[in-house]
Amino acid sequence: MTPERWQEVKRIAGDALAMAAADRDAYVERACAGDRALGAEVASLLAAEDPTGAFLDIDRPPDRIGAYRIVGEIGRGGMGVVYLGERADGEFEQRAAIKIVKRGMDSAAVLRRFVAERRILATLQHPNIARLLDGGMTPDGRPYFVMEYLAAEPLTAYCRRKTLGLADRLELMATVCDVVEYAHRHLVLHRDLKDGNILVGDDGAPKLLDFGIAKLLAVDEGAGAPMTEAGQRALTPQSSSPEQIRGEPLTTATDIYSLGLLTYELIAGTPPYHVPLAGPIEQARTIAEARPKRPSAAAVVPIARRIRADLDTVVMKAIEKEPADRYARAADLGEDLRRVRQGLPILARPATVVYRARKYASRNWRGLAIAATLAAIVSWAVADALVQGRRAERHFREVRALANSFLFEFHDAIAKLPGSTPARALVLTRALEYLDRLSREAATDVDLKKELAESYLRVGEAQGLYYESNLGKTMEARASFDKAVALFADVARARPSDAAGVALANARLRLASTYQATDPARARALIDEAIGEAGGQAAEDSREPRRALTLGIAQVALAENGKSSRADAAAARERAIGIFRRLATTGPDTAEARRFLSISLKRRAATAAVQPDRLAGVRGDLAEAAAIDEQRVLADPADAVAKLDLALGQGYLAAILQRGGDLDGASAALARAMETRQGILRADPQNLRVRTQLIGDCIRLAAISQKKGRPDEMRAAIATGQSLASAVTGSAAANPDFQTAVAELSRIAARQP
Amino acid sequence: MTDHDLGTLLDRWAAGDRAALDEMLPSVYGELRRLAQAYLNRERPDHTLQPTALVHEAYVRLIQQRQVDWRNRAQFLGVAAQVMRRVLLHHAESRAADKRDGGRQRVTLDEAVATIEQAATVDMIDMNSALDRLAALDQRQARVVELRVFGGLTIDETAEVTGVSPATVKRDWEVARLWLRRELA
Repeated sequence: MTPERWQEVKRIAGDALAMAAADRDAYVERACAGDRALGAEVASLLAAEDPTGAFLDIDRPPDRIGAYRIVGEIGRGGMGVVYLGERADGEFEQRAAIKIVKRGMDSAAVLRRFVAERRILATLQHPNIARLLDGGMTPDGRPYFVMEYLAAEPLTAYCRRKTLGLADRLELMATVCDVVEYAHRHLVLHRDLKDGNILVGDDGAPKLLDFGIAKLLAVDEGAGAPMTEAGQRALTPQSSSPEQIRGEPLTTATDIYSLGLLTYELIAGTPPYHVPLAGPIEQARTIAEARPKRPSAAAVVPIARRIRADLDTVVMKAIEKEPADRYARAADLGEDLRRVRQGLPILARPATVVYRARKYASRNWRGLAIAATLAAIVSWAVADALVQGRRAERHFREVRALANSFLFEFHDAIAKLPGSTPARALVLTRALEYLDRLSREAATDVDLKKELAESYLRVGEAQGLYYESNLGKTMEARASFDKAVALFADVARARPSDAAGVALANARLRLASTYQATDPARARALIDEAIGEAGGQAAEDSREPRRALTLGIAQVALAENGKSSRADAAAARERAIGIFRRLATTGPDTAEARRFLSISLKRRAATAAVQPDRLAGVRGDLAEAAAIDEQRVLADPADAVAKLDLALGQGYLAAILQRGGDLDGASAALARAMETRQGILRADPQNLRVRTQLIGDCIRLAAISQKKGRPDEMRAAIATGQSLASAVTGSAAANPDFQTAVAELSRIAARQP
Repeated sequence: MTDHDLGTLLDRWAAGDRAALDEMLPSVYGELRRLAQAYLNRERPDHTLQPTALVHEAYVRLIQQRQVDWRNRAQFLGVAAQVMRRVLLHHAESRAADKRDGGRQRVTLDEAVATIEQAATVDMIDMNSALDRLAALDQRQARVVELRVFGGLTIDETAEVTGVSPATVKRDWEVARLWLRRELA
């Protein structure tokens, strides 16, 4: 037998092996084409096949693992095998994927990693992560765990088979980004995000699996040392990042890179570059140096011309060679993918006026068509003025006037409309860009600085001021308020005046509000500073209403601050109520004073409600607050802010009635609050504050229904709450108030019959 | 060989110097023997010693303190599989000669050899010479068997080490099983 001859034997025998036994003889005879010796050699090889299949069968599955009968193999990696199992006890008709350490691989190091994977899976409970069902140890000492079996196919195959369009593909990837963000928030790096590890079921929901080489970002408490070894399992070269090639420590940026590669592949049909199969050096060079084509240029799905550039920007940013140049968080990538899908301006691009204006004009702003048209006109005018470029004084004045009209007239006109939260943020952001640009051209212009500060303040409010309708983006709001404080401080230094001090104090109070929930000590320090800047506590009787109002708001903040004692909080609330009562009837800011009076009364009622002997006062406060809010709604039926304030009082009333045992009264009050909030949420689905309040309402309704002995109503309330919560995606889901509400919801859901 | 030398070798290897692999063999060999010893001294007497587990654990230990590129893992396991085969063969050959020496080392490797022999239902020495004969016909195919049996590599990993497609590896492997069973019958 020569090696050449053997190749022929091997080919024919190999082909025959892949066929059904009945077809083999005919095939071999045909393939050997009369060469008898060849035919005999192949036949003798085939005759040597072990009928039991046990000979050198290093992959043979066990019959049974735990309560599961093994019916097939799903896949295998370096260390483990995944089998398809069925419940053997007939208890449930349940199929499951069972992952077990391969026979012969059960070294201490492998076992450690295996146990780590099981622990990681146990900490991750997300509808888009394959669920851990069970775990145990086989009689021969190999650990295994059982996961839900997914009748699903890999991401790219799913998109191909369903011939999904770009919008669906982007949405799918955005959901995957949300899941990865969830894992990162739980301090888990996946490290092996690739097509085969993201399965999509027929319902279209993607599921992440295989945390086999996932890494805990935190210190591994078991071993007392960070788990940083470079991963024992080979990753596929195709999906590895430049930093992996360089052997650098992996971070969340590595997962983001993988998400970028996947997005690229979903658009272009192939990965951005083809990494050679063998040869570490060539592989490394390709991954480190290759400049991929823009995905839109290689697209396998139709892409609207107007979003091509944005799509390219987003994907290329995710697969930047330097981790620091990529998106900071998976949620940010997801957000931008959604923005591209909706034709909104993306966050990845340095905002230029021309870019924004084009985006603005090209997008149909439903529900606010007039605003959109107006904004588009203004944007074009500004863009035009800027593009002309000569920094003529005339242009400068024009741009500034336009920005200010955005900032004040336009914003204020839409601020109270339901559904305006994203529009407000957009308008304000735009004004900010103009002013920011101008301020770079005229760094010493104090008035401009003031306008810029004002602009940041308002942007922050739309992003996440607690008492206002907001997008729930506390961190972004904090950054905006920070800038406002710095700018107002500059203004106050350059041109010291009472008004400047009050403006600075106001901004600082806004900043404090972003710390109240998470860092009360920091919030407290900021409040104290603000009181000083506004002229000190004694100035609350000031003839100057702005100053008094600011000091009143400072008292509200003190009353809500976690570092204040109960007595101090009560005293602060009384002072605030006093200030607002006085300002509610006189001065230029009566509307705001009345609103804060109503808020303070409600807060006083909510605090006092825990003491039964003060219930009468509580009712009085709530009634007075409701009267104020009703007047406001009557004065302007479109005023969503006033309506929400009214709903807040009804919610408090429901809580107090429930505590007093008046379940029917509580239900009625709650129903009124919910109706108002639902109406506003319908018009403004991105308003996270209202959504969070509604989830809270559902929790209360569930509790009341339980007390009433109405399990059906309880289930319905929980289901409503869950569907409200599930609509939140992207960075908004990280909002602490929202998360608290969701946690509470799952607690009560666990109690339902 | 000191850790430092090993590190240098690994670095050279990562930079594409294939000769560095051969220079590493003694170190890999030593690690495998040491590990086998450690296994036997463990409190768990029921633990079956598996040659492939040894190979993988040797890799993990050697690599641990080094930022060696993950891509080299499969190649490393390939080398270790080769070493393992030599270790076990050497042991099997000398087994008859020093029957009176009941040292722990011997017992340990007995167990490892037994694992292979059990799967192949043949003697280690026969298995080895059959593999050599296969190598004379088809070098790559013999290597596939070595990687699978002594290195415990999957089809995909074997494909990565040998630089051919998984489908080709699978055919090599399946036909080799037929050939070996016939030769060893």
